[in-house]
Amino acid sequence: MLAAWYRPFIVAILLATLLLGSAPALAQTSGSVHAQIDQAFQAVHVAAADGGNVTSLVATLNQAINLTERADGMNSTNPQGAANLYSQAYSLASGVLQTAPAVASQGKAAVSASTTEFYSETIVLAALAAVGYYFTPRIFWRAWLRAHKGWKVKRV
Amino acid sequence: MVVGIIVVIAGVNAANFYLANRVTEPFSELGVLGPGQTIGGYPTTLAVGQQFLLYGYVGDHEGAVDYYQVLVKLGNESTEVSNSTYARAPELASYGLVLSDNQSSVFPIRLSLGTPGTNQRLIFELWMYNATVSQFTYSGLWNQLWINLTSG
Repeated sequence: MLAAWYRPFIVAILLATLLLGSAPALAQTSGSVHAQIDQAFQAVHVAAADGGNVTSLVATLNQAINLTERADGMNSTNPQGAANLYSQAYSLASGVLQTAPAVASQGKAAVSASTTEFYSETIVLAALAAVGYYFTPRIFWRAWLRAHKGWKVKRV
Repeated sequence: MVVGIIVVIAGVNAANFYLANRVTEPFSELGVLGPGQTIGGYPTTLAVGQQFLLYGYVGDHEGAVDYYQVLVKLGNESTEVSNSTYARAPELASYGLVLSDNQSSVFPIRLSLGTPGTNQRLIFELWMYNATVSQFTYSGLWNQLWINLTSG
């Protein structure tokens, strides 16, 4: 009895949730999705310049672009389908936009580690060169003396 | 001798560090392939409304991630297009793609043309997204196919 009384309210709440949930999807237009893709691309461009691995971001961005092109093609004949595709494309581009800074940070860290490794190697090589320059003659002449210690000088 | 070897190793190491990922001559590629994804088999005569398939090829050797747009336009004998001027002709289709450095992509181009006539030109232009001005700019790369369109 009580459940029957509540039923219209539950249906109303569900409908409201569905409408509110789908409102942003319907609100995405071709222009807003293209703008979001442009922004996402700029973020990926920066992440790549910082040395980040952007392979998956590029793949996702291409998916968003493909969906947008499909939506542009069907916008006049099937606006609801187009809105759905725009919404998906917008989500993908937004995901790329959110992930790109982390990828850029990873890239910066990798570049920094690589630079540190290079300078460490250079310092080690310089130290080896200095040690070699200082000790090689001594080691060489000691070895020479040891090798020739049995030799006798004969007057001819 | 030992010092010489170490100096050579250090030199190779330094060259590798400074020259890695350095692009001396950045460039992009645009190609149009036939229905078999090869250079050949291009349509020369088509009926109005007849669907045909081509493939676009874009390569990125710019040393960076780039956002490309391939525009397909329908021109004629008098349409001017060059490395510095893009064609002022109706746009039939556009294909967007993002490529990493040294990456290339082949994608299908499905078209059908509407107005009969001889010596029509399908013009393919490569545009690149310019982040400074936040819009696509003409890269100077273009291609064309000459097509005769019959009424049926």
